Formats: sequence, structure tokens, C-alpha cells
Amino acid sequence: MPAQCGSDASYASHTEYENQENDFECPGHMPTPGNGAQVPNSFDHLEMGPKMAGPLPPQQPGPPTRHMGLSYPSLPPGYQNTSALPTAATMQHPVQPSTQPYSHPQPYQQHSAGPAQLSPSLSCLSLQSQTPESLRVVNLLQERNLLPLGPVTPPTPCLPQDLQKINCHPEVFRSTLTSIPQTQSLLNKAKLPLGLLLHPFKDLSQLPVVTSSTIVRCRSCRTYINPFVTFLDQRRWKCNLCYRVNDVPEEFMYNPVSRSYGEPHKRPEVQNATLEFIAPSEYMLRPPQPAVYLIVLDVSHNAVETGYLDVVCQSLLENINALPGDSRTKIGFITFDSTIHFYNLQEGLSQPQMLIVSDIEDIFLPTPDSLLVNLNECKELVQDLLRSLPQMFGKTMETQCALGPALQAAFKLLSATGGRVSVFQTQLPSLGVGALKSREDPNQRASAKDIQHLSPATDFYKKLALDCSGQQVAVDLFLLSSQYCDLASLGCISRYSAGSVYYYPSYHQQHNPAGVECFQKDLKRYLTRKIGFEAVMRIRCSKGLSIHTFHGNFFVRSTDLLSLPNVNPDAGFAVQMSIEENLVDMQSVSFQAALLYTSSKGERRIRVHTMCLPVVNSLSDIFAGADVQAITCLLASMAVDRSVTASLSDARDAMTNASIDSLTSFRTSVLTIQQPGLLAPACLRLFPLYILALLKQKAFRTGTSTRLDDRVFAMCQLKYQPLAYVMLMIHPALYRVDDLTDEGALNVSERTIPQPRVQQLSVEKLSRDGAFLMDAGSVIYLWIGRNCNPNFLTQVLGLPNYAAVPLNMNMLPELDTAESQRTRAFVGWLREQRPFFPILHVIRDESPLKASFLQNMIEDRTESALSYYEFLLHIQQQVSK
Amino acid sequence: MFDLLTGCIVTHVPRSNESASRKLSTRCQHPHRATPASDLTAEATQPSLFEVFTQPAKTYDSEVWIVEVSINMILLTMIARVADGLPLAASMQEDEQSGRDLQHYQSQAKQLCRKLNAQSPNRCTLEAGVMSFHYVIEHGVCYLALCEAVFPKKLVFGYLEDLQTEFNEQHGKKVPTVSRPYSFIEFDVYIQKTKKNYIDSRARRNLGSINTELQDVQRIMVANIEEVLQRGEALSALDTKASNLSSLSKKYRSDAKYLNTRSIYAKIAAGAVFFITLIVYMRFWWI
Repeated sequence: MPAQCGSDASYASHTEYENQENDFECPGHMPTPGNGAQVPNSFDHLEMGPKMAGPLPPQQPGPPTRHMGLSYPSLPPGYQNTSALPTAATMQHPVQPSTQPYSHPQPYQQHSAGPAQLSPSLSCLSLQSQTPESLRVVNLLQERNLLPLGPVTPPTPCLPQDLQKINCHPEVFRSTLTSIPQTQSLLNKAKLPLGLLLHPFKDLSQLPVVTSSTIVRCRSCRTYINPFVTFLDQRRWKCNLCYRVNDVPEEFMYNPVSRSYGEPHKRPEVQNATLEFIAPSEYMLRPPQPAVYLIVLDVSHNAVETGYLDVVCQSLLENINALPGDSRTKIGFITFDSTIHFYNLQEGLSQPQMLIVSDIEDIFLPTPDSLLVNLNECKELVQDLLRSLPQMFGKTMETQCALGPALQAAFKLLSATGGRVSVFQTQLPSLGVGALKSREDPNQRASAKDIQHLSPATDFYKKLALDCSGQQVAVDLFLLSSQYCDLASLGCISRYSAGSVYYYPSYHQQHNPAGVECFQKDLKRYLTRKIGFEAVMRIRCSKGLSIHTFHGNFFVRSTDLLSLPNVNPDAGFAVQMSIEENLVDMQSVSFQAALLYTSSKGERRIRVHTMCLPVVNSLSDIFAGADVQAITCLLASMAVDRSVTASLSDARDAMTNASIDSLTSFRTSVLTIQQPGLLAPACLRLFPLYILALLKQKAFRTGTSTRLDDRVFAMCQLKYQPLAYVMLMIHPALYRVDDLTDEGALNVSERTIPQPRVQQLSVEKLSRDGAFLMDAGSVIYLWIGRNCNPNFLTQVLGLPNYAAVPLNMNMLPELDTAESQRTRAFVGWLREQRPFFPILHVIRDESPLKASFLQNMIEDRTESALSYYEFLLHIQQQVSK
Repeated sequence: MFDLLTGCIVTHVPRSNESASRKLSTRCQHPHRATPASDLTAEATQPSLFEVFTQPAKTYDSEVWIVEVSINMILLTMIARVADGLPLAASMQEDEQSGRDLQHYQSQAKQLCRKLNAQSPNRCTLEAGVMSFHYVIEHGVCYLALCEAVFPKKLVFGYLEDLQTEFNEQHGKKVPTVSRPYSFIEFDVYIQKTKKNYIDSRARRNLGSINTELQDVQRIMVANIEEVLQRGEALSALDTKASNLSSLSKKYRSDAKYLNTRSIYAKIAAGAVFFITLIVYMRFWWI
């Protein structure tokens, strides 16, 4: 089955809703992205792109528009000659255009120093005279330490300062190329993928909300008015996506913020690239749905044995008042083993009533209402049930588990309203529809040349997910298991219904306390985080560009409308784009993502993000604007698709080729003086490292024993996690923490947070007399060296000596010492930066987790994978061919 | 078997093949229909907690039929501001088994709320095929319900009056100031509760009071939904017709042009063929 859900756009299940949604989301003309959904996932333009050598289109600097007063200059002819390139004679000490000594880590972009908004104009200006920092040539074989001091910052698009200031924040909306090439042939030549990465529902600290009876949109392409439109005069505005001239409605002339009239360009809609509209009733098909939560629990013997019921019920009890919702919020419960159990929680009952349906062949609801009840009115019954549920199945001997029928029941229960289903599953479903068989051969884990069974075994889960999507039901899957569960098949239920997947391998209440804590924290976040219901998202882009492939959890309805029954703040999306028409006389292009959703309070809202990027016509400018993190994440998503549709080795080759091709292109097309070494522009200097990290990532690694479910889960995460978390998953950050000082520390709300520098991921960086912290996104390791400074052991860990470090330590004790405070402040700060809770593992040489810690040392050689240096040599060999 | 020490009543819902009796069993909830199960009590420590349906459900055919029908009686409830038709609250129809196309009625209800104005009659019934819309306008707020045509009018208007009193009390003052659609969506909770009271035949007996309050229910005006909705539609129909006409004439023009050019080409082609034959003929036969 093709991994791309786009190819199923014609799946006929929810025609009615679709028409209606389109009615309001996009009446009339739709900016059809060409052959859209049918485009197969491929690295076409990376690998098989025609080796075209056609001349560049003649440079035609278009008439300068309002925006581009500083218009992006065509490169001065002398530019390439003036760049000081290292010559063969000076290879040992390459001459740098800048004055920084090469051994020093370079700030990723120059704006680490000056005010951020100054840098775009600076880099624009600097083009006139010398190479921009991002194009500084780096010989990867010579320069060992490429990592920046702190986090890698995204490049700033080369836009006029006033536009750049209001542009969408890169955490929300990011492009792989911050300078868009003028033509597809130019893009093909650069061999870099073009795409967008989105985090549309991110928790934002401030978000302007606009309430108005008419929302101003372009009449032909339905773009929302945004900061990058042009006002021809007071009464007319020109759409920045389709260039149609529209009238400014009377109401828009009045500015509610300044209470003045006749200044449409001062309205909040035109001042903010990210904002939210309260939707008028035309945007509603039906009254906004209430928040509806259905908990589906596996209660077979295996499930009870893991003891997860306690945690779930306890979490629910603790957070029952924090569930997002209003007085209409509904809740329901289903448990299942070989039969399906419903719970009647109707108001007035003295205790919950369990209804058992044993007919799993053709599932039915035992009573029409009172299975889903109003949370406020029946809170006591719900609490009763949650308190008694963990014991209720204590002695069950039932080992079978009918997940398929339970999901069907959940769908039936919610199909009238829509809502969220949270499924907790602990084993391979064995009964009824959707029963699965084990497909993994553990002996083949390490030795198999190619990984089988990455695609689903049955289409039952996908079909059910599509039905759910049609009825605005999303299914979130929590998989807690010790054996193979076929996540590749089960995951489809969440993937196409826009749910999320959580996986806790070898979960057990007693044997895996770290897993339990992680599950608890995740559940808390899951239950209390913001949620949007019955959502749709559409991404529009300027005429000439077209979106052809989407990545993430959703279902593509009508070529470019993403159906999201639920949207959560932790979901990321990616799209791939191609250039259909030449963007010759344009200075900039824009992208807009609009997310229409119902909040848990029953408000229909539209969140709009708009991003503007310059168009360039030379290869060097494209390279100068490349965003290496975004490129890596997009490539990872593409590679996941590739490994499902083709094979894992194909995907691995494609990723390696992507780095080879882009560096070859840089060498042959941008550099004029050829010299030995592996040369990369400064902005792409981390590219080979990230590609190597991807090749060693759980999702794509070979040779090492990786459980199939672990692998598939890593693939899911690469596809639907937002960029920031994916990057830590791919390339963890390593810090030395035994010598934390307050030097260069951050001050956040009266706390001092030390900022140690990021170390390379190599064992050579670890020293026996230190302690190192590795932040891998969802997990943090604290490695203690054998001869670790005793001061650190006593002051931070509260332990007398190295031998006293316990094998499973997950907490830093709260000691009243400066060292302890610093360390805890630093760990706490790392945790605050993400919405989920990374578990801390304290590791010493004998710890069982040492292996997974060392597996993240991606610059080192393992028995089956190249070291970073070997990988670079391999690339160099290919590049200079 | 489970350890059933915990405080939860367990009920086995019987497996049945007939779809009719399935529906019955799904509705059986009254304790008097269930008999204690002897096979379960042996193991159970608290026999009173377990009830299993052992009787064939068919015997309750007629009663269940009533329940089934009455559940769908009030299909849609909507509260809107008369001044601009802004919806204030609504009750979602929980109507999966009937599979009726409620979308259509939903949009009709929306249109209706926009059409109504201060001049509209205060109480009115609008017939729409097998369904009827009933509405009450009070204090500038319209209370609209969609029912099956056979549903007693008296009950609907009682229901609407009930909503009206409560809504006016809770939110009446805020109505003129709100601008967000469905601002009082939480009123849905009350709507659903009231609805349950009115459609449940047993609870209905307690509502004897409405008989006296609504004696003049017979005098409520009855009109057809089409008439009301089409009042403003003549103009828009004219508009569509005009635009149709213009697009048709455009098409005619382009078609005519196409035909013209085609006939010219045909003529030229015919001429050319004739001359070629002529030349060939002259060349081979004459010379």
C-alpha cells in the first residue's frame, strides 16, 4: 500500500462533509497544485533529475516593487573572484574571508552578535562587496569542529528589514531554501529539496485574535489578507499569491486598535504574520462540536500484568478538571479483551454499570445514549469508575484481545459528534476484524539485508481511520508492549485520522520505572494540552509554485485540503514543492497556511500563518539561503516514504546521494577555483553530519539489532514531529556538565542557567574524569565517568563515590549546593523548551542503557557503520568523480 | 469470569441475529426486564449487582418501537438573534441510526433564521414535507425546532417556551452585544436535558401543565417553508438566470466562431484537393 495518503484522495467515504467544508474553506476556484496527489514520493529532483546543463535564464531583474526597495541584487560579476578561497598552498591553514581562526567554532550566522533585524540588510549589502558568511567555503575534511556554540539558528531570509521584522517565526513556518529559485531548472541544478516545514498549532505566548463579521480574503484564490499584500490605494489591495486586485471592504477601513478610519494597512491583519480569526457562521457546517473524549483500554491479561491501568486511571483522576473543554464536555469509556465492555454512566445511577457485548463479529452499541456522558454532570460516576477500574480486571485470565471491534465500537459511539479516541493497547490484536499476526523474525533484526514489513499488513486500520476522519474522530494510539505489536499496521489508525502515536517499549510497572514515569508525564501533557476539533488546513503558495506531497498525520481531501479531525500543539507537517512556472519577474513569493478548527470551548477559529521569501536567480544565492536543518528534516520524511514504498536501502542511498549531489553542484557550479578537499558552504557544513546521523538513526540504521516496532515508531516520529524535536532525535546535543560555570549564563526570570557548549558526538570527547549530559529530545542521559570529579558526585548527585551510582537513577537530588542548583537549572531549562517530559537517565559504565547512549555517538565508527571522517571521504570520492 | 467485587453493575447484552431484536436489546435498560442470572451468582459475592438479560427481547416489541421513534422526534433545535440571524446556540442532532439527511434541514434552518424579521409572526409552524419547523420569537430571539410533522404541536411549543424562559433568564441581557456565532453554545446542555424530558413518554405525564398554558396552540399560523424561503429568492433567481444567459451567449459566440473557421478550412481543403487532383490528372493523363 502506498504510504502517501494523497494517492487516496478519491477514497469515497465522506462526500457530504467534504463538499460542505470546501464550500466555506474554498468556494470557487481552488489553486490546484497540478497533478497534486498523484505525484509519487520520490527523490526525483534530487536523484533522477535530468542532469541538465541548460543555460540559466537571462537575468531579468524585474521592476522593483514596493517591497523590494533594496531589491535583491543580481550578483556583481566580480563576486566569485573576490571570494578568498583557500588555495592548495595554504591548505593547512585555509585562508578565511573572515578573520575568525578556523579552529574556533563559527557562529552559524552572523546575527549572533548584532540585533537580529539588522542582519538581513547586512547580508544583502555584504553581497555587494564580499562573500556572505553562509557562503564561506569550508573544507569539511580539514575543519573538525563545525558545531556552533549553542543551538543551530535558522538562516534569515534576505528580505528588506521591514518585511523581515513581521515575517512568520521560523519555529512555526520554515522553508528548506530561504531564497526560492526562479525556475525549476535552477532548483534541479542546486540538487536541494524545496519544501516547507510547519508547526501550525504550536503553543504561542502571544497571538493576536481578530473578531470581525467579514474576513477579508482574495476573491479568486481565497488567500487571507496578510502583511505581504500590496495596497494600490486606500480602496484596493493586490493579493500576493495570485496577484488579483481586490476591493477593500468598508468595514476594513476602520482600525479597531487605533480607533482610526482610513488606514487599512494598520489593521492587525496586515501587521501580523501569525494571527487568529474568530470565524463567522459561514465557516460552520454544523454547530461547533463539544469536546468529546473516549478512552479505550485493553484489559486482557497481558495488559493487566503491565499495570498500566493504574497509571491511566490515576492520571485521569488527577487531570479530570484540567481536560480542555466547557460545560458540554463529554466523556466515555470502553474496555476490551475478547469481548467489548461499555460503561453506562448515566446521571442518577448509583454506580457505573458495565455492559458486555460478546458479539464482536458485528458490533453494536448496547444503549443509545448514556455511554458518552456530560463530564460535569456525571463527574462522580466517572471518578467512581476510574477508582474501581484497575482492580476490576485483577484476576482476568483472558489473553485474547479484540482491538478491531473495540475501535469499531468507538467509531460508532463518536460518529454523531466527532471527538478524540485514546486507545491503550499492549499486545498484537488477536480477535475479530483487524487481527494481526507476528511478522518479525528476531533473528533477522541485525543480519537482514533489507527490512521487510514496514508497510501495513491489512488495510482495515486505514479504512477505519478514513471513516473516522469523515466523522471528525481522531484516534490516538498508546502502545505499551514488550513484544512485537505491528506498529506499521496499527499506526495507520492514527496516521490517517490525524492522531498521534506513543510507544513505550517493554513497559512494566515494576521492571521499568523510568518508562512508567515517562508514560505518566506524557499522559499529563496529553490530557491537558490544547486541542482543536473538526479542523481542516490548507496551504497556499504564490502562483507558479505548487505543493505536491504532504508529510504528517492527516488525510488529504480534495488535492490540497488536509483533514484533521483533531489538531494538537505537538504535531508538525511538511510539504514538498515544485516550481511549475518560472518566477521571473517576481521579487518575492509568499506561503500561507490556514488552519480552521473548533476550540475546546466551542469557538470556531482560523489560525493563519504567512511567510514571505525572496526569489533569486543564481545558484550561489540559493546555496547562501539553504536551511540545513529544514533540509535534513524534509529529507528524513521523504526517506521514510521511500523506505516504505521501495526499500530501506533505497532510502539510505537516496539520503547519501542527496548530500553528494548538492555538494557536487556547489563544487561545480558555484566555486570557480577547484582545489582538493571536500568543500561546502558554511550554511551546509553540517549537512553531511546530519545525513550520517540519519543513517545511524533508529529509523534507518542497518546492521545493529533494531526491533521493527522501534524502527517504525522512529519513522512515525520523523514524519509528524515538529522540526525542533526531530533535530534532537537525529543529532542529540552533548554537554559537559561537571564544570558548569555561570560564565555566559542565561538569565530567565531570575534564574541563572549555565550555557555549556555543545560537544561533538564522539567518544573521544568523553573523558573519564567528567560528567556529560546528552539531550536526545525525548530522553536525557547523564553519563558519569569512572574517575569523575568526586566533588560533582557529592555536590550534585549526593553520592559518596562512583561505585555508589545506582544502575537506574532517574532523578537529580535537590541539594543545597551551587553545583546542584546549576545542574538542575540547566536540566530544567532543557525540559522547559519542549512540551513533553524527557526522562533523565544517569548512566555509568555498567548501566544497561549505556549501549543506547553510545549509539548516539554518531561521529564514531561502529561495526556496521562508517565514522564521520570515513563518511566524508566517501562523499569526497563521489563528489570529485 | 471477572472478579466482581468492585462497585460496578455488570450486564451481559445478549447476542442476537435479528436486527430488529438487536435494536430492542440495545434499548433494554429498565431493571424490570432483567432477571438475576443464576449462572453468575454462583461465583459472585454480591449477587444483587449482576443482572443478565435472559428473556427474549421480542416481547417488548411495541414499547421499544415507541422509544425508538420518540428519540428522533425533535431533530434540531436552534436559537438565533432575529436582527441579523446570528446563531446563538444549537443542539447537535445525535442521530446516527436514522441516517436522515439533516444537512439539508440544517441549512434550511439557517436560511430561515436569516429570513425572519421583526414583522414575522411570533409563533409559526412551517411545513417542509414530512418534517415541520416550529418557531417562537420572543425578545428579539428566535427559538426554532425541527420535528416530524406527526409530533404533537402542543409539545413542541411547550418545549420552545421552556427554552425561551430559561434562555432569557440566563443570557437575555447579553444577546444584543455578542458578535461571535454560537456564543451561548453551552446552553446546549440545557436544551438536551429539556428535550429528553419532552420526548420521553413517561416524563411527559409530568408535563401536564403545558396543556393549560398552550390552549391557543390551534390558532398558530401554518405556512409552507418554501414560501418563506422563496420570498427573497426571485431576485437571486433572476440574477442566476441572467448570468446563465450571458455565459450561454458567450459560448454561442465562441461556437459560432469555431464553426465559421471550420467551414472556411473545409472549403479551402476541398479546393486544394480539387486542384491537386486536377494537376495530377493533367500531368499523368494529358501529357
